[in-house]
Amino acid sequence: MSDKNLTDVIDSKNFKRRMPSPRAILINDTSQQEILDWRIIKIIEFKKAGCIFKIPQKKCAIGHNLTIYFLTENSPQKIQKIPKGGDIEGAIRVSTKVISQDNIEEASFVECEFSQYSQPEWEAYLNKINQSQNKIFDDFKKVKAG
Amino acid sequence: MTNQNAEEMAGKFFENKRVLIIDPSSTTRVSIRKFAESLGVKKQDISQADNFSVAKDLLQSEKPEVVFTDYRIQKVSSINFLEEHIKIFPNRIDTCFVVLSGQNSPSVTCQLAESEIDTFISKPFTLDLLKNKFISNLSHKFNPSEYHQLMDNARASYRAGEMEKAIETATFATEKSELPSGAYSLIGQIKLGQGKKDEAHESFEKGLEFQPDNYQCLKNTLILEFERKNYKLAYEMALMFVLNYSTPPSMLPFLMKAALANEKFVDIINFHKIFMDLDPDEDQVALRPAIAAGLTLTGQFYLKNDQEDQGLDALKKATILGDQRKNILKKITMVYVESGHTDEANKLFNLLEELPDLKPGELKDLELEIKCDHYPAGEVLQLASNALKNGAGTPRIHEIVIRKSIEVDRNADAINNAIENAIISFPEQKDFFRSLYK
Repeated sequence: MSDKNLTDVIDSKNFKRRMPSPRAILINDTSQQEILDWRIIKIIEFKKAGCIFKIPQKKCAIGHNLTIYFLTENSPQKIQKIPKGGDIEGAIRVSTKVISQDNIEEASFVECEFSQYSQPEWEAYLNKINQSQNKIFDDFKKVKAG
Repeated sequence: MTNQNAEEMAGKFFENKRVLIIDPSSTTRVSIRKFAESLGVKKQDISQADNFSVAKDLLQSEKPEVVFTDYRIQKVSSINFLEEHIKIFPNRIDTCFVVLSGQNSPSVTCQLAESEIDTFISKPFTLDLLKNKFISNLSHKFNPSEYHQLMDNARASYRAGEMEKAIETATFATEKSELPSGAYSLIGQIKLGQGKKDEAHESFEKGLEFQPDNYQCLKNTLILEFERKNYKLAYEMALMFVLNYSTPPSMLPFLMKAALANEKFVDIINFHKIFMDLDPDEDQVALRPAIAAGLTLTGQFYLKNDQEDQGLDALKKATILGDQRKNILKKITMVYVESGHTDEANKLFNLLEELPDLKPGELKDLELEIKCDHYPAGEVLQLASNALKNGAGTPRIHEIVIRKSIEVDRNADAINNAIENAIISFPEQKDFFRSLYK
């Protein structure tokens, strides 16, 4: 019998989410409101040059300009103030415009289109997410094979 | 198949399909609607629901072949809705059932893939980017081979309870593919359902000959090897399983059993660590009793082998997970008693006494076990005799009455009387009761 134990082989990462929920904070440049607690913003969809997210109502309106910071594992957990110069460590900063808004119960589903952003940086961010989705497709196919 | 070809075939597949999108968020529904349209679905063929109740009505009225659904809405699982969908479409090759979820761990992915779900999209999604891979994953549906068509028919027969027809079709399918493991797996599952375990085992093994890492064949063979008490082989196959696949949470109790049967107690401690790291959802809660039971046996083993600290630590963890489950707490208490940890046994007994659903006299056995070796024999005898009078007579209580009667030097008639009473209640154990007094 092999000397190996089952739990030597099982990767505990398999029980964790492939990617932690993406984190973002934002500043509404039009109304000067801020959402600096990333737990308030729930990202629903990423687009090639935009995104859809859920926030509490009355934080923005169609036509407003938002600066969104997509935080990465290198970004701080808590952000109390946007530093001078507007950059946050490890975060991807994008300037956006609200193009649609859908209010349901107490939440607002906001769609933004990016107006100013680093395309390579954003694509690298999306690729990372997409790689994890592709892995899901591959795992599915492997289980169903035959 | 080139991307363009695949996209054309997907277009043909989806162009006449009706689609149902189920998600509480209208924004998400809009995104998926756009995605469905990009696949070739016509706008007028798409319906939407924000919960499964509305979705069930739409399923009946619209009969959508394609479903995109959130994994869980208001604590209702999409798997329940999948069952409804299968009732309408027992043949699945011309349908598509897609689940979307933020819970995207490899182990949950594996569990979902075991079902009839066709594919799984992680939230938040990037629909703009996943189209090609999505299409490629479903390509076997766009132009199904003879093998896939036969397997679809075989599975539909199986679901309809036409087992012989299903076996016949699947057997025919085995000749139509170079990798017919799925067909052997289905035959094996049917045989298992019919209680023909040897034939099932043979079929799964045949499947493994063609594809040594076939998920269903591997999983079922290792379970059958375990049932045959081939524990070492079952453990080896479990190793192969976890090397190839992300263990679905539902397999953890079984893997723990395999580890226990092979006295791999380190595994149990590590399974507990894995368990504690799981997201605290319904799936995790469902695993608590199995983990607690495994830890109890692990604690028992360590204590028997003089590994006091590890044993007590395992039992402490088991107690936390076994909270409110009296069978687990009773077992842990017994382990404390057997290993001479009377204080711990008493503490747990007090906790058990406070459980709300206890039957009268239910803990008498346990109370006697705790007191048996640590209280004066006369007191234990009195307690055991009272328990018998109150109708809580178990073989163990009779045994205690006999043993303690001997210990306190009751006269021979009284002892023989206790033995006869025990035999009247449990005649099949008469030899054992008589052996206690010579």
